[in-house]
Amino acid sequence: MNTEDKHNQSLSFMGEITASVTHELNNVLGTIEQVTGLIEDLAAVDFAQNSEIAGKLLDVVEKVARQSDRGTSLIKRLNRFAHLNDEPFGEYNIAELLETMIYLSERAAKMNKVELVAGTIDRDIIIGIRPLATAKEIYDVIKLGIRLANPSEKVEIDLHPCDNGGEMVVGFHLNPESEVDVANIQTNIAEDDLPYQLSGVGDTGRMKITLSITES
Amino acid sequence: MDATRVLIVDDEEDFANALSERMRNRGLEADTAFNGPDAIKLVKSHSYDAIVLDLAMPGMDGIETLKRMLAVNANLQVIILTGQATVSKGVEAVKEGAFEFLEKPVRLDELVGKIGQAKSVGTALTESRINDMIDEIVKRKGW
Repeated sequence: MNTEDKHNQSLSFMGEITASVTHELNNVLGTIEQVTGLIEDLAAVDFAQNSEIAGKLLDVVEKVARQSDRGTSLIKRLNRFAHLNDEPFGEYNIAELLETMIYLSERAAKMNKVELVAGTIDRDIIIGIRPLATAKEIYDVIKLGIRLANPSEKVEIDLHPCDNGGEMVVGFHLNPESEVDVANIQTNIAEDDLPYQLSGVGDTGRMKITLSITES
Repeated sequence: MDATRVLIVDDEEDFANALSERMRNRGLEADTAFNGPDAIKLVKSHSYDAIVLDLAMPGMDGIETLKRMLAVNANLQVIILTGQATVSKGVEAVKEGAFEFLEKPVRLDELVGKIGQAKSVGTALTESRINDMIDEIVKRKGW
């Protein structure tokens, strides 16, 4: 078995396990949602007789419901991500893929104290791609933006149509206190033949990373 | 007006039981089945305005259960619940005759809304079938 086959097998394995576990977790959260809804129904009925306890119960239910919603959103996106490995090639709505990767990158953004924001996203770009490879390219670009952006500011992500696909643009203000050498990064991107470009926007201190996502 | 009668089919028993009780709290009649074969038995012996059917069940899966239910009663209105990210299975179910598919976890108000729509469609189909039967009888009798 060659290296590429082994690599593909590893990816398949990870995708399969993740898809299976997220499906189960989705069921768990779905059940929690219905059960908390039932508690809410029951508390509402008893409210007149025992308002203090019912009020506290509703408060607890709201907290559980919020966390359940949060868990559900995470699971849904992770499940979508895991299923990217189902087929090596397929037609995908690039906006949906981008939004999934933005969502899954939010923890990285939070840890770097930046906020990821979806800007103008064209929803009609549907092209044939290698989904896992494209998801990785999108993630690498978002990660770079998070790394270079000024903390406490926004990293805005747009998707515009272009010939044969779409152009993803990650815009941000460069962290003025960063020790990162932008010119060095630009050189590395070119030397490593990476599919994206880092450029400045005039003298504004704004940077953008551009990734073309085109028909494979 | 008769209460809306629903059958909830899901292998997650806690989910099915909680959902059915919430529906009863809202004035619907709700039965549960935790696998395909039990669901088909209920469909053969009871009349339902809508079926809420989970796609991913062990043993007889949702698609097979759907096909066998529709073989019992082609006018059944079946709402599929799919938990998988790719909704292609849900689309497949609609092609096999399901009324609609919703992604899990499902909001109760959205589901109850779909059940109402399904009931209207089912009622219209039944009325249409009855009218056709009456027309057929009238023609045969030459009235």
